[in-house]
Amino acid sequence: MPEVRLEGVAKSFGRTETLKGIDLVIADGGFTVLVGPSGCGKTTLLRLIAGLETVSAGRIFIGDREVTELEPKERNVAIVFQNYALYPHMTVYDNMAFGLLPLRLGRAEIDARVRRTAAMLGIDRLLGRKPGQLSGGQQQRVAIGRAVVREPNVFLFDEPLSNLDAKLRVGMRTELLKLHRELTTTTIYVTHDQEEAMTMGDRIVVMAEGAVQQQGSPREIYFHPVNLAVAGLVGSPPMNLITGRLVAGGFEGGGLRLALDGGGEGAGDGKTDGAAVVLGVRPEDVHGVETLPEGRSAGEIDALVEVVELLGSRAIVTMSAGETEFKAVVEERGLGAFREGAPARVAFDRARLHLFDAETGRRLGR
Amino acid sequence: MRRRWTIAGLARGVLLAIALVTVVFPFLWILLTSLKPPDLVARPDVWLFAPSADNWRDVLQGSSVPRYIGNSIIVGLATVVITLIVGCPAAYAFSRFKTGGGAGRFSILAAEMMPPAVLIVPFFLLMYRLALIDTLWAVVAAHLTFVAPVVVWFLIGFIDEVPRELEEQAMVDGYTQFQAFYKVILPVIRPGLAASAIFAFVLSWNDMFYALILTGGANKTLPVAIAGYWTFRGIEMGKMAVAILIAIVPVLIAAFFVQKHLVKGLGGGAVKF
Repeated sequence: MPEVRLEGVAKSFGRTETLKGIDLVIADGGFTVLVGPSGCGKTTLLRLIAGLETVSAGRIFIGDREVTELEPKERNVAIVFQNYALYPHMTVYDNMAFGLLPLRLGRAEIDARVRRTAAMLGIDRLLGRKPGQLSGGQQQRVAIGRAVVREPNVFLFDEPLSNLDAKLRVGMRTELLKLHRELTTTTIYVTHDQEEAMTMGDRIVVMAEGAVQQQGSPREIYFHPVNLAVAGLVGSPPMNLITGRLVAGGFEGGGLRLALDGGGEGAGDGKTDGAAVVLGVRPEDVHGVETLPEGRSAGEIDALVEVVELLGSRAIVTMSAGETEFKAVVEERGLGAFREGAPARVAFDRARLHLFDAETGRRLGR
Repeated sequence: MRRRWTIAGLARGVLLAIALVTVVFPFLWILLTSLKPPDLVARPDVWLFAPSADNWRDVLQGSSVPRYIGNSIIVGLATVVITLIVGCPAAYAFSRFKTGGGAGRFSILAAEMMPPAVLIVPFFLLMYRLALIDTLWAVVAAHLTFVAPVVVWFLIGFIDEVPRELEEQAMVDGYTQFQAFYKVILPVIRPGLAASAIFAFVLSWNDMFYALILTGGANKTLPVAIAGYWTFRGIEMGKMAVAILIAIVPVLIAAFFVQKHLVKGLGGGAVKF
């Protein structure tokens, strides 16, 4: 299975610059997720790889072969669209066989492949039906089957699960991953759902405003976001961001004063006192003071609990302190310290604070 | 539940009845006229009579009307075939490549808005030069001027409704864009094609103006033949009624089959649902 390589790929529609010089290597055999807010260019990038759009600049390689100027049909990729794009006038069987006809495989081989793939996806009993007679989940499987049956070099998924209801979606995620483990075909998967990205990708590429913001493993993306755009996108509920400035030994802003590891200047990547920064703390790194290990506190905060949303084993607690509102994710058994309308004493885990340059959005320190 | 009779309901019923009678009466009257014996044809006040097949026999066996029907069918079919062959790719281009932009799309209908009288003199001269006067081809060519634009307009509406991903899928699956067009798009819009074909046929079938001026003699179409019963000795009402019925029936049947698609086609080009 080949890797997919993009060199300086740019795309403009009229005067709108949708992609600005993307350099990217999609690992051979990996499951790479492109994630970003809508309009960030991730779908355009996928369409460029498929050949459905032509690049304005740059080159695209699949394996050793440059495909920049090739027609979609010459690239040996398969795509699954959000709306499945099943051919409504063909049966499931014909939908799957349609992409095999140009390969001139012979009737018996086509039949064998279609039936094998259908069995693998559990749609073998639907082969005689038309797409209109299938449920959303079944249509989804057929769309995936149509991609798999061609045994392409690369799978391209464009938000394939967003039309499914929540329960089905979670189930399909697992199935897609199992399928990928089995086939180990290089997969590029576009989604705007950060949770989907985190759970599915072995590599995540975060995009915003037509550029790659960060790429790495889900852990790297989550624990070391390189800028505010990534920090704000990944995680649910999202990271709390507090605007302020560096002061001697720490951070001050939004009515809070916090200690930072290594003092203000040390943490600030050479920034001096008074520099404008944004402090980030994930909701799960906000603790009641008693539950935080010794020496990990960035300073106690007297907060007022505003809303408690119980999710089951955990709860999201929204509270305010000074001019700042922030959220915490709290285990259900630790919820006793948080009552709506009552004060609570909390602290941020200082080992897990993120600091960003307020001007450029870049991560500071570590 | 018992049906309630209200003033509004009653009024609506009366209005509908009036509308129905207004629409149906002329047809009924033509049917009766066609069945009247020759001596009663000019007597609209006579409603009860022994039906006679004389007019029908005269028209179908004793005249050239069957030939003219054939002419109309040939012209209609030729118009349909050429319109679809040219119209499908044209509509595809307008729909997918936004050829000519929004203005291009609407300019298609500009041809429709031109009075036919504007075209007829140049058209006559053109056909004369090409030695096509009094041939069916001249009529077909003339009909294309007003049939093709409407059909293209229809088809744009139908193609607009087909998700783009369908042909993109086909293109990724190993087909060229043109193959995607005729292997995926055309089959998907088949109901629209059928409706457009029928509509195109009816437009051609109903035209008298071009056919009257461009043909005469043996290459007349049916509407021209109908008008031909208006002779210097007066109107041959009975035979005319027969010819009219023959002209109307296919249109009525066609309208019955395509009415739903017609509304969709007319709206589809302009409005996104």
